[in-house]
Amino acid sequence: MSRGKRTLVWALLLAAAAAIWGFRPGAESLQACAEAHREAATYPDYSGIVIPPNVAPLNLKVRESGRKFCLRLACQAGRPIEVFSANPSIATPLAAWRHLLEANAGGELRMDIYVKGEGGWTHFDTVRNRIAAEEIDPYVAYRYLPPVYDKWGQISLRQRDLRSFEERVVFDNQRSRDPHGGNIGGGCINCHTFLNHRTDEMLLHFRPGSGSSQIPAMILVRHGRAEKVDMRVAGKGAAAYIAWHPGGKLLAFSRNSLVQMFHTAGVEVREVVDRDSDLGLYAVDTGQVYTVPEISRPDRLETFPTWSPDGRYLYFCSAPALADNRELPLQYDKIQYDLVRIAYDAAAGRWGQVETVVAAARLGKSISLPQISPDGRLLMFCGHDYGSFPIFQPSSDLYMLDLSLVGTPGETAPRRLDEINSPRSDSYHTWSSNGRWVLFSSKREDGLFARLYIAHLGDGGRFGKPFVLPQRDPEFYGRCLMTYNRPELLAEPVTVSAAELALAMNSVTGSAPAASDEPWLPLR
Amino acid sequence: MDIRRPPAARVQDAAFLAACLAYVWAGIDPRLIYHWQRPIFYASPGFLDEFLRYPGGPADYLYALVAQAYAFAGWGAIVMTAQVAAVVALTEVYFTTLAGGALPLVRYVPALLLLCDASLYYNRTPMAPALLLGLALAILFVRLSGRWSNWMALAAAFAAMLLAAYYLAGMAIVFFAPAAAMVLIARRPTRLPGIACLLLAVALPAAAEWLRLAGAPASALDWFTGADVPRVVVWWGLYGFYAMGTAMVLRVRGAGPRPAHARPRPRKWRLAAGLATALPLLGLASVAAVSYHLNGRDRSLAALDYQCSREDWPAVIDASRRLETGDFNSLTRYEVNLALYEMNRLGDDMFRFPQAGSLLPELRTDRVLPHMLRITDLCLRLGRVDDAERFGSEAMVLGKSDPRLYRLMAGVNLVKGQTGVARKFLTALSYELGSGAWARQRLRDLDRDPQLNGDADVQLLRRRMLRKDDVLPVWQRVGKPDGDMERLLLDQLEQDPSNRMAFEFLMGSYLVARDMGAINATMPRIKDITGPAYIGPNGRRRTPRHFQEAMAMYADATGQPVNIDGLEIQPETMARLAVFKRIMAHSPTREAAREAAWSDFRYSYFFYVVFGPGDYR
Repeated sequence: MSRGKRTLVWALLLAAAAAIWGFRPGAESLQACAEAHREAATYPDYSGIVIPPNVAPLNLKVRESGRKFCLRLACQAGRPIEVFSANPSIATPLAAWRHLLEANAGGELRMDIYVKGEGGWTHFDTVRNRIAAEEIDPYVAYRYLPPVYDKWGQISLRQRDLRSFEERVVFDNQRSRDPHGGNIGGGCINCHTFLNHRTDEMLLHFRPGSGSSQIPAMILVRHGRAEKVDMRVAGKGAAAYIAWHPGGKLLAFSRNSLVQMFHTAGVEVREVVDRDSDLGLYAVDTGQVYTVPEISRPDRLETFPTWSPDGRYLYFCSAPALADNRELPLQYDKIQYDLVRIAYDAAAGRWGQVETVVAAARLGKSISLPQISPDGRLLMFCGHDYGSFPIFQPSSDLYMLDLSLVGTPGETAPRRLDEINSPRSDSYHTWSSNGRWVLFSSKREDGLFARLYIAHLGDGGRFGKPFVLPQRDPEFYGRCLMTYNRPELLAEPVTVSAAELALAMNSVTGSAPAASDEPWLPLR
Repeated sequence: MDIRRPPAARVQDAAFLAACLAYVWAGIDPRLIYHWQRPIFYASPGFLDEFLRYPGGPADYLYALVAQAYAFAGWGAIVMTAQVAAVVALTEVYFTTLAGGALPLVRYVPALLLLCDASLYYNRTPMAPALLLGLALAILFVRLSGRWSNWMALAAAFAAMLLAAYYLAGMAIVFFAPAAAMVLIARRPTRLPGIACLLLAVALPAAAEWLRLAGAPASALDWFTGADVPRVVVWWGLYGFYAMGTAMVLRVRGAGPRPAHARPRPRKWRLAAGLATALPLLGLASVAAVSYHLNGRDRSLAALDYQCSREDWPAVIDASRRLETGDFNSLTRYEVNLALYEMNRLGDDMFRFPQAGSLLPELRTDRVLPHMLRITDLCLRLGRVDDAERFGSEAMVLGKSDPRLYRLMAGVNLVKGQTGVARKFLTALSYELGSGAWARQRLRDLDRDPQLNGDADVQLLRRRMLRKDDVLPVWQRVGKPDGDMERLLLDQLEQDPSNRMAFEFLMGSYLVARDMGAINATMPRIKDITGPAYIGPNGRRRTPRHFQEAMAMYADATGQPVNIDGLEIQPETMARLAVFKRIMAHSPTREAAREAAWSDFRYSYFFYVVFGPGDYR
């Protein structure tokens, strides 16, 4: 290149750099600005909420017209953060945000939005949020999938660091490979379950793709090693909904015979009916699969097991079974599940009698997905018009029951959590390990795509206004055509590798139930 | 190196590229490549990230961007010809760099093979970017090998280029590595470095796949093998051309560049060389012509589906004329019948086309995306909006971010009044190059009229939308497990008696089945049906021809006059039936009757009833 040409190129590069620098939205004085006398419209809505002190920045898009935008975040302590942007999407620097929140846990976070239009800067009313003193668990694991009908060709189990925007694919049913390069043939992965918010011991339900020679099974992870456990005995299906006993030695699980149907009219197209279900138990150390009559009655449909944190009760949902379950699809909207429990003595291996905790008839709703707070005091569940599939029912709301009142004289009615519910399906909730946060999935935005919402439980037993899981790009949810499903809050990241999980899924037989076990019969 | 092109070569290039442009534009038709391959390109944040995660991803990304031009015949032809021109130019530079001197006509060989590759339509491999990158790196390496004497430095350069080629364009290494290795073998005293380079080139993708260093969506073995024989032949042709060309040049002209003062070849020699290269070139042109001919079926089918997607109904009919009888499968038959329906000709002209089965494709989840797209669209048109949502959602698992699906799903949700969901599809679509403008306009429409109450098309579909819920899909009823289309269409007519599509497809199904009783029972519904097909030239109500013919046959067979409100059997129809019957009666054999009735009646329902399904075009 000749010297002249070289000079020209350098001149052009310098000019371009200067132009870029010149157009950079710089800090400006916000002193002289008009008042809008209203809050700015933003997406997502992060106003009037309580946030964890360790949550990622609440990046947002200002839905006001203007040429420049500014977000000012201020607290009692520390320097305020001012973010100027030529774009209505405003991203707060992570380090400064963390600094501000850590210094002001338990305090107030003031958000001021300024928009510069033709007439200069306009200030919108200050949004006052509260920073809770209690942290939320740093990770959440969830399924990430398109709205699923018959096919499940695009499902991944992901893990998000709630303190930042880091997301990791734990397992992808299309892309993950075992160490030999084999994939799982697009099989379905679901119902991941963790022991006490820890990831060293976890479960994953696996259903092979059509045409596969694999078996549906549970993938049991212990200390970083995954193995396939075949729980099908005595003609019963594979385990579906699973709950760890807090001691880590026993699993309660349901076997469900689910059928999917489709509506030809109405808002929700999909319908799932459980034609037959029972609860079973799996002894982790011995590999025995068994049940007891009280939780596997032929005249009842039992599902959604969950243990009380002290391990003394197994809670589950139960509905009367029809004499001929072929009739069930025709009466899908007549089935309502009660919330029941059964006492369990882990030391003696003894079971009590099933007692009704909340009767569906009394509540007027079918009950599903019971989850108990780590202190054992509160039980949250979904209440919906019928059946056991709240995710497909717009009527699904979250309810809470004070377990300390169960068994005492007087009314023990659960409370519908109107402060966090929406007119659309709210379901799949998970408690934080300190019991002060609930993360749940909700379709409130559009009725189809579920998103994860976080809500704080106040001292008075009431939740704060829920807010959607923040994303780096605030417009992400506006174009995201995937749904977030079955969130589980975690105290630590999932460490088992995708290859290890795939290897277990691709092992043909896996660990079968112990040979000495009488199939599907009570041990007593 | 200063490469000066003689005027004759420029003329050759210009003529060749002009021929390419014409061939691509009129012969291959880039719109069909676009339709078949559906190269998806979104400008949304994060879209590029997916492509940066695997070797060859950047080339896929570039190809997806470049192939957006294929949505237009003219632009597509220009862009494809530009790629061909780049390949021709780099091929010439490569061989000139290798041994000096201009190349004869063989420089067009890779271009011809690229055109063969393009005429396969379905092949989404970014061959041109890979080839161009491979050639560019090979040129660079050839030049370095002439200047650098330190073989360690050369080996390091080779490794770096190999990595770059593999990451950026995957199969670019197939063009780069053999060339570099041969140059090393030719220019070094020992063959070891060259062989080592080749082994390294083989080991790189093998190691990356074996150790899963990067999640490549396809194996490097696919570059060489596969069930798709035409593709494999074309690709081996390209590999072979460069590998053998390099070997020959190095052997014939030696390892070093030709001296600048080399004496020009005698005129006779040049003529002979020109002829010697022109002959293989002609042979390859013939191959291209044969490949064009062999892909005729794919082209016709793609054209039909493409025109149907564009809703250019006369073009659908035009494309259908190029189909063989055997290609009138359930999908193509439906597309032709849909075009006839949209042109208000179904009841008049459906028997001009082979009708050998159901008028509607089977409503079931399939792994074939075009089928899923079509049945989603069909359900939406009929007013089975929940079914459309279901099949569209299933198709999303197959088609992932296919903009055609997003468009359909936005439509489904707009009709259902689920505008929040529709906005999501439209917002996602607004980042797509081809449909972005349409999606943004639709979003603005929604801002103005949140429920689209002023949109006539949406209102029509809302009127047709089923209100009565039937949780068990109607086509799964006992005794009709494969699809109770009759029940399905009747349900739509119950919801909206003026649903012309449901009525005409139901009547069409009965006509095809020659179910005279059902035709007679359904015909009274004609009074609720309106549209240009039901208005005569004088403004009076008319009945489509095949419906008249069917009812005339029914009346003739039962001996009872037909008196249905809204139905008119014209005297000419009765007269034609009488003529047809006379031919049948007076012909000694069935074959003779068929021949006698062929010219006047082969497009009539009379002919179909007597001689059954067939291709009477």
